[in-house]
Amino acid sequence: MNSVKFVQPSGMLDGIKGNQFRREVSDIVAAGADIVLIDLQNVSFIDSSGLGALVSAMKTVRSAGGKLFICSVNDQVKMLFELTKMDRVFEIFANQDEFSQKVLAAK
Amino acid sequence: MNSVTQTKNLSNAGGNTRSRLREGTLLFRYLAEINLIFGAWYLSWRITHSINFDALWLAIPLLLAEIYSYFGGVMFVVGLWRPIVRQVKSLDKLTPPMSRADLPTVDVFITCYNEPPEMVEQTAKAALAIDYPPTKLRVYVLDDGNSPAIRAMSEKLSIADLQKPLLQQEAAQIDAERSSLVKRLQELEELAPDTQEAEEWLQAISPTQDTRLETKFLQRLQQLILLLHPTHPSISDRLSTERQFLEDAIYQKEIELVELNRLRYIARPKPPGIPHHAKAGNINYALFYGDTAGDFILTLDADHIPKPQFLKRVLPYFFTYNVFIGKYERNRVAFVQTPQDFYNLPADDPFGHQAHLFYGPLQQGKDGMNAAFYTGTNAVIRRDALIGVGLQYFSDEFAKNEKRLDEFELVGGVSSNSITEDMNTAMRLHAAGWKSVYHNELLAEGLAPDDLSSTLKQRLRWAQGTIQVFIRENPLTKPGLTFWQRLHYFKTMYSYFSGFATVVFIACPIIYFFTGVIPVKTYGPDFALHFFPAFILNRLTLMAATWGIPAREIWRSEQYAIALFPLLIQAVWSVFTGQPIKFQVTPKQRQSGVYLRLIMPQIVIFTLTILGILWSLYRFATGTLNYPLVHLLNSAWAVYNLSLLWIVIRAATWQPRLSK
Repeated sequence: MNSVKFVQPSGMLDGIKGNQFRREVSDIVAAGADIVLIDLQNVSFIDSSGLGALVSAMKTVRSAGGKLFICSVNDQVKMLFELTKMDRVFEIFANQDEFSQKVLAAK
Repeated sequence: MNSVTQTKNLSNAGGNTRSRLREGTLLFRYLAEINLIFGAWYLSWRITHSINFDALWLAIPLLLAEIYSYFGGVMFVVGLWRPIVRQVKSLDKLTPPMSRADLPTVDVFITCYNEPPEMVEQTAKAALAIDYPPTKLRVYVLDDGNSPAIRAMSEKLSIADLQKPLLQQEAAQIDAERSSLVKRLQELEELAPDTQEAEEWLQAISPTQDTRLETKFLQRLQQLILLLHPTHPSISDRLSTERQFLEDAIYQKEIELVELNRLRYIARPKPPGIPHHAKAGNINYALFYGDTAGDFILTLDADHIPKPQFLKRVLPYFFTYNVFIGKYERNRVAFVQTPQDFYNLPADDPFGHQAHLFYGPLQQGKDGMNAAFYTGTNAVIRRDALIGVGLQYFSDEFAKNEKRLDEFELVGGVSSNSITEDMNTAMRLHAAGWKSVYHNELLAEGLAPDDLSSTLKQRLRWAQGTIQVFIRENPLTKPGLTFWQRLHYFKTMYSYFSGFATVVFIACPIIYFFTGVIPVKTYGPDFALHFFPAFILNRLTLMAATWGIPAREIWRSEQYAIALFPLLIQAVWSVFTGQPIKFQVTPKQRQSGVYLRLIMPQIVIFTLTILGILWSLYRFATGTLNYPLVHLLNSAWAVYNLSLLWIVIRAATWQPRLSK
């Protein structure tokens, strides 16, 4: 019933990559996903433009009635999330397993 | 007297930027200290010895107005205590030099709203002519009026830009790089089938079977190649990785070719019924939804034409050379503000737009305490700082109300909390620990409104916006600001409350002429003894502070500070009573006409003052005047008021001289 999609950006999530990422999420939502998990395992670095893209993506998902989650953030990204207080905006999981247990199993 | 210059080098390793105290500052400090002492002496005499208890209804307002002015003066002086002059080497003259590859990318944001396309075109053309590597510069026309004419102009201009030799050269180079990559890919693809066969053949024969020298050599060669690429199990695998790599690189080059189109047009959708957040919304939309990604943003109002050297003069402030790694690193400077000046000012500037006091000692004084004022145009901002701080505020709002997410792209960067979004944004950056720079070199010139109606709209917006910020994010209590930053921001806000004091100062002589009531016990020698030293010192201090700026310009700004009192009162009133406040875009084209109806309060005061003086004269002539000296003193005061107020009447009736 719920369509879950995983997005796994890699490398640096900066302004340019962030714009690509934002489009990718819009496409996924347009294709009917209503739960989107952003797995940041392969993301080494995020700047504030990249963070902005994450928030925009969340807006896109929510305005289509879906939900967006994030998992597997490294230390740099975690620190940035805390500094910009983004940890209050996103729901963040340690990894995909935790996400599956808490979100998917709860359904 | 020659001013003493105290040199204080705050230079970084390469000595690319340095700053020193503005000339004449020590003289100013000297005078200012004496001035404050005499002022305090006058004020204490006023409080303890001269209140007229028979007319408290007038005495107390006057005393309050004087106290207000004194504290305004104290803050004015403290604000000018440490004005600094910055010197910077141009980007291409840095020591050590910055490599071209390290140059940051820059987006120019030209914000417009229903300006004529020719005006925007002129600005956009000048922005494209900024001396900077073409692959690192993008110019965005942010058209909040969504005008087909501006869109068409932008499309035409972007084609014309691509045709420039510099751009064509760049295109040819990228194309050549792409071609060589394509060629390499073709070679690789031709090689692939043979390689695969060869490897299969080598696999098939066991080493002991075939002992020919050639076979051994081939096996060794294969081993060598795999040794050089230890992560690959076979040469074909290595080749397919290489092919993938080349395909990516070719794609990258194609993107670069597309990206050469440097002028882009953005008109955000403005669905009715939801807040659009004016200029802040326009810029934020470009930040989050406009596919912009430049490391730095040069913000320009539609009419502000940048000079070619703009970026080279300003960008060096954002980098510090790190001797340990031998590279330039980004520092903590969030924005660099440059002056605003106008190329359409009439000779005597009847609307008081010239701002060498603000874009001079005042900004330099703020800069000396890391509190430079961002004025929304002619400034370069670090994108990372802007969005980083914007997101923090967004998350606070989101925590209170998740509905805010619906307008994230309009509120997540530049502050949308006030109609003076520029000032509010700078204050947030300062509070987050970012630094700022004021660079006192004219790098862009714009148009000033040349009619009273537009001028008043602009001033009203500044006043309302500033007071809005005062109420919503009071700098005195806002966490993160330094003491001096608090003082600078508070001083600006404080000055917008001056309308009430002005009313008292203007009303006193009129009241005296018609009723004989005076707010002080005596206007005799005792008054003169206390008042005039402070007054004269005040003028001298102001002269020292504004040394180098034409006296007429300073006088003009004093006139406007007084003459706009009804507007200032209206601003305070509208904000405190919570009236809806709209962001009014200042018209850039003359709205012709005579505007006497806009300045009715000033005209009434003006007329009453003249009538009062005439009434005194009449009584003097008929011998019925009791205290001629007191009348003389009040008349002098009244004439001084008239000369201040006169300017708005002149501005209201001003007409441009018809061109030949």
